[in-house]
Amino acid sequence: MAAIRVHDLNYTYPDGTAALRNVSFVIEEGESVALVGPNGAGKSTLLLHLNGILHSTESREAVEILSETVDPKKVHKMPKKIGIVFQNPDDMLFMPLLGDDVAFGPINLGVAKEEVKRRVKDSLDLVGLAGYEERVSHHLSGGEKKRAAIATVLSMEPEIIALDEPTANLDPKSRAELIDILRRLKGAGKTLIIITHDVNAIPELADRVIVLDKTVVADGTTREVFSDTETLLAAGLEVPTIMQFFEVLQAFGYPCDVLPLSVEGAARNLTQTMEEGAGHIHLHLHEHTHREVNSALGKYRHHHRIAADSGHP
Amino acid sequence: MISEIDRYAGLSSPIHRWDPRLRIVSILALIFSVVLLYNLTLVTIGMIFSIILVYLSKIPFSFVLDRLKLVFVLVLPFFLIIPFTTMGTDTGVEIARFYGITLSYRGIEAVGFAAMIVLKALTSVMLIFPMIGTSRMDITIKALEGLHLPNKLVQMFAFTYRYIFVLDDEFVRTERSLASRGFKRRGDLYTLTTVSKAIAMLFVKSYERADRVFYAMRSKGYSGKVVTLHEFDSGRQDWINAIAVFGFAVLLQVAAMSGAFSIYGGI
Repeated sequence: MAAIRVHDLNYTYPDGTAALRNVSFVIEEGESVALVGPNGAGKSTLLLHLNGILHSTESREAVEILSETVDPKKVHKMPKKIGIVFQNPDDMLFMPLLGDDVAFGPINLGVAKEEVKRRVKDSLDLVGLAGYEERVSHHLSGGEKKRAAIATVLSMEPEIIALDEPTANLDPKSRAELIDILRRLKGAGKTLIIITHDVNAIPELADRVIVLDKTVVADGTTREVFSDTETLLAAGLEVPTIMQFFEVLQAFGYPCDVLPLSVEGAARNLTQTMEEGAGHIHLHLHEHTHREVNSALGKYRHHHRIAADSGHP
Repeated sequence: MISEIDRYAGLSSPIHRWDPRLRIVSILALIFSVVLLYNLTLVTIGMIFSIILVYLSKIPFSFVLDRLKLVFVLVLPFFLIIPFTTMGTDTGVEIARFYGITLSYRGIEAVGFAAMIVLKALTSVMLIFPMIGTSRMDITIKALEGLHLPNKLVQMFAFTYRYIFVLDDEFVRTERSLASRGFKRRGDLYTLTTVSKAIAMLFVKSYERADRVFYAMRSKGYSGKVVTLHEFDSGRQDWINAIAVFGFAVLLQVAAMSGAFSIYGGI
């Protein structure tokens, strides 16, 4: 069954700017999809359409969640199906205590008191904030707030979880913890749609990538989309660092048909190549190597327009 | 930073242990009772009782006095205004007259009246400390919810409390950003326009934040009412406290009506 079906969605901001144009895609249940795109591409706007908070008269029945058309009048019934984690956790943690925030959703859904208590505990446990019920959210660290915001959505036990830049503005440890939480949700069979600029995290989190730039410009498996460098660059995006590095290695003669996307993939790739090469890897430096290295380096480089415009030589 | 009224909520005292619902209602009754008095002696008695309550709550007097200073500055002018503006026609005795301002015996009597106003103001503000300074703000908000105050009012209170610190932080950031680009507060028009623009931006940002928070609330099933889980229970001691404080409030009013302690009669 399709978890999310968006068909020909258009949305214009009140000031007349087009935010979304003919957006269409289908996400199956249990899929984990990264939604990437430049700033101002309409990613967050799209997210708010998924539970009917934003809606436009021009595309009234454009969004279906779990085979049911999203009705803007029934937004308060949506959390059972889809939970949205906003980009800024301060917007999500609006109650006096963290426990109240986590209990807020289930109480609104009419869940019984004892069950609410259980869900609050379980959700906080799951994001590694066990025993934080009585904490004041204003005093939490950035990483804790991000995880807390996820807990407030988990407690509603939605089938689908949509997250807006979950790993943004986090220190490496917090980022790793957050990726771990998302992987566990993925493992538990939740349907995930994750907005992110963190290309290095995508291979770990998503099986599929949708590139949005007001409209869907690319949609495919993570590998397919990352292989389409031109489209990515045109949308102002990039590919994982490890992939770029292996392309440079290729210029040095490293035999590699399929570029690894993550560090784990790279380790596997190197092991395999060494096993095939009797414990060795052969790299070489020919006349044409420099040209190829430069070409590989230049491939992912965005034009430095600001420097060019400033008039300096 | 905004100083927090519930800074001493973590202490342990009979007032802290008192069920917040009963505590709020009883002390609020006392505040009203004191404010409605028109008798200096009774107001003084009320004040002494309030000081005892603050003492029992273990909230440091320095903390309370620090905040009472501001109230005192606000009500101090009464000492100057009332004696000179009370007409002396009643007794007809005028002591002095300068530039149209007269000082009469009646005016000197009115110093007592001014003192009463000042004491009432100080007492009612002082009582706020044992009333809401003895439990964490979130518990107080839940107590208001438990007292069946209109839900909209409780929500307004809760959101104000939740976001006032966020706004304060935001303003501190704006100030730092101004300072780091060479802005210095002076007494000129430039300072005034810059600060007002910064405050205007704060309003715009708050408005947008309010939008986002509302979206987040709607995404979590909000449909107009905020309910939290919290159980209060009031035992025998809670009721004894309530009867003591509420009873004292009533006693003050009875004493006032009986005319005892009445010094100024009509005032």
